[in-house]
Amino acid sequence: MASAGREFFQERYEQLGGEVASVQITQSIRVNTLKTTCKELISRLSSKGVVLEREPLAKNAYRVVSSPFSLGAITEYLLGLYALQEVAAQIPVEVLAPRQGELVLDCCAAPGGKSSQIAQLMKNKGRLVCYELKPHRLKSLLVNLERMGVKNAVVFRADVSRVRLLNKEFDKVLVDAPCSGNYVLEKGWFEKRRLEGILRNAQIQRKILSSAVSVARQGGVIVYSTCSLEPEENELVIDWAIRNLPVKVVLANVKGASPGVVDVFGARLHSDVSKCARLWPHKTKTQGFFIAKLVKK
Amino acid sequence: MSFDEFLLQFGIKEKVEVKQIYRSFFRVRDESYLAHRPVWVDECLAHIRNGKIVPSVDFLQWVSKRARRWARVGAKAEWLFICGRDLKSSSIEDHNNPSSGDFVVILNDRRECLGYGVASGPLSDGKLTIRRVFDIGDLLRRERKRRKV
Repeated sequence: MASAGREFFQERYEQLGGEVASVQITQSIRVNTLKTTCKELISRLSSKGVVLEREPLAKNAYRVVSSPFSLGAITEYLLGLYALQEVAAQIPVEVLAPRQGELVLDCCAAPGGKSSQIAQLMKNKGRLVCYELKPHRLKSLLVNLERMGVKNAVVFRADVSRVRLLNKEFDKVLVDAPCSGNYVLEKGWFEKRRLEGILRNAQIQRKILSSAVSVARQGGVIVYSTCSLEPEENELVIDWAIRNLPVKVVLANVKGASPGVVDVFGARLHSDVSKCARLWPHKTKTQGFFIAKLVKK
Repeated sequence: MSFDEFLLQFGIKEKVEVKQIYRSFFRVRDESYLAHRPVWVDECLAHIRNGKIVPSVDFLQWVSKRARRWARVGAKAEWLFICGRDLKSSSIEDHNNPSSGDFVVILNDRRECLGYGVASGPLSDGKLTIRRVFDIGDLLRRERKRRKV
């Protein structure tokens, strides 16, 4: 049996209760409350002809209804008053809910959208520690931190397994793991992905999650997320974590999301996996996403 | 160029405590992480590029509030300037009489700093043109240049 192609993935999604739908995602922005307010920015952009609409899935998110120009090159963008960030990508940090004064770890930080969102919720107070292994992705992370006015971060170009050397216990940890992505974001996604690659990602994801859990404090929160719809990178990773790491799953509580799938291709997973959130593009009209909230025992 | 020399270009004599990490300058609140060789700590102030210092977006705002010379431009010139263009006298709406060779910070209608340049002639009748040295569009150009590699 082929392990790639549209039909292969479509059949898999149908078995999980999903489907492949033609979803046109709209551009969204996240207002950077470190530098401005939602009211101020909306008024400023609307005076330039930009029409924005409140996006209910995330707190500071606005959908771009129309704009006479690219929103990625104007003064307001360059000054860091907002970030271009798809609404589903804003949810993991909201689930993590970092607060002022906490010690927070971002395991795979580039390109920095979620890192700057963490600093924003922390109001630049406390400590955000970011790890990024890939040198070619580091530049985007640093440019984003600079533009968004992040002042409480420390960034390491290293594998997150080295975080142990810091000898710290983190209050909150974000594992936005590298993944195979999803068909909504990438043209020709079905043709480019194979099951073997997905399984390889799953090994890396388990390793990263394991490092993350090892440095979280007891009672600390770990949010695991991917923009993949593949259960091997999502529910199966969390099922493995429940059985092998000192964590329990708590309800992710994401508006409009479906519960994590517990029957995966004939295998019955731990019932707590259903507390995770799965964003099916055909239901949420966003890109695909998976979010799990764990607490260290 | 030292950090102090960079500030002196704008007539700023205030001392700023900076820590250089690789090719960037930071205002570091907590030095305990430095032993682990980070690439970024706390607040980024500037970078070294081709032997010169270019400020971060936020530090540019700090500089603009203290700079001796400024010029204000309208919306159209604002757009051209952040795209990397020099400023003609006709696009400058207001200024505080810089002399030829002065470093001038460029402000928009909201008095946000867009970058800076060097004043040049003709300065007769208050007519000023500004040769762009740095603008905030540099952030995008920096990132895009990197992506092509």
